[in-house]
Amino acid sequence: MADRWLWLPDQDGGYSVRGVYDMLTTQEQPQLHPNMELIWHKQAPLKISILAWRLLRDRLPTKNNLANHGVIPLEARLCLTGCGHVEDVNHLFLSCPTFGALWPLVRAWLGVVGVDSQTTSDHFLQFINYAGCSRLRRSFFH
Amino acid sequence: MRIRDGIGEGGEGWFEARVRKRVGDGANTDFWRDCWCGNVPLCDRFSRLYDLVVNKSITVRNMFLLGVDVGGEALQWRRWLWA
Repeated sequence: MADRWLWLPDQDGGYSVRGVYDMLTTQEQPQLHPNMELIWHKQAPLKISILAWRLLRDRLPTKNNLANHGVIPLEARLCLTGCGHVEDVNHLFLSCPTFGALWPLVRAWLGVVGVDSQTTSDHFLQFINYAGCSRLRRSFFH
Repeated sequence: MRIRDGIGEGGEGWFEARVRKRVGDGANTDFWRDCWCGNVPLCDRFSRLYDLVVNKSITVRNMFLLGVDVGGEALQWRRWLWA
């Protein structure tokens, strides 16, 4: 028996343009975490929701995104603090020595304990959990 | 109509990731570089061995014929393999 190619989505029928068209147009987008629904929580102001949506999908005009779209030259995509790293969304909001250092202060201000996240979605989930906890704590105190 | 995100961007392609080789006599399957055993080609899974192997384009059939046992001709290395 000869070797043959196998098309995993349809092992009997094999590859077809029609099948791939259906696959590419009907398959769900990679799901964000279910908590991402909370971006659109009705108590959050719309501008905050939109910022969060752009942040988590990396649609903010960071220098890295601007450079990738040819808006600014590639050499100009370093972080504005001069720390020497590319200004992408994870750097700007989390790992930059200047801006990332704000999060421990925010946590201290909120009175919560946490870790520094590596990704914006982890960060988002962590802060959502804080919101749940502080609501709980408040109801205990009252 | 919306095409799924991620297509055409870097990384794993939607086509390659869904193609496998089903081995019959092995004469038309590249032992190291075709995806016939597991979900990635052996050259990716065992990239350090692939670097060292002499015959990088051997077929599965020839691999079998030459013998994959210790001392077999199929697996010749550019240098001694350290344990």
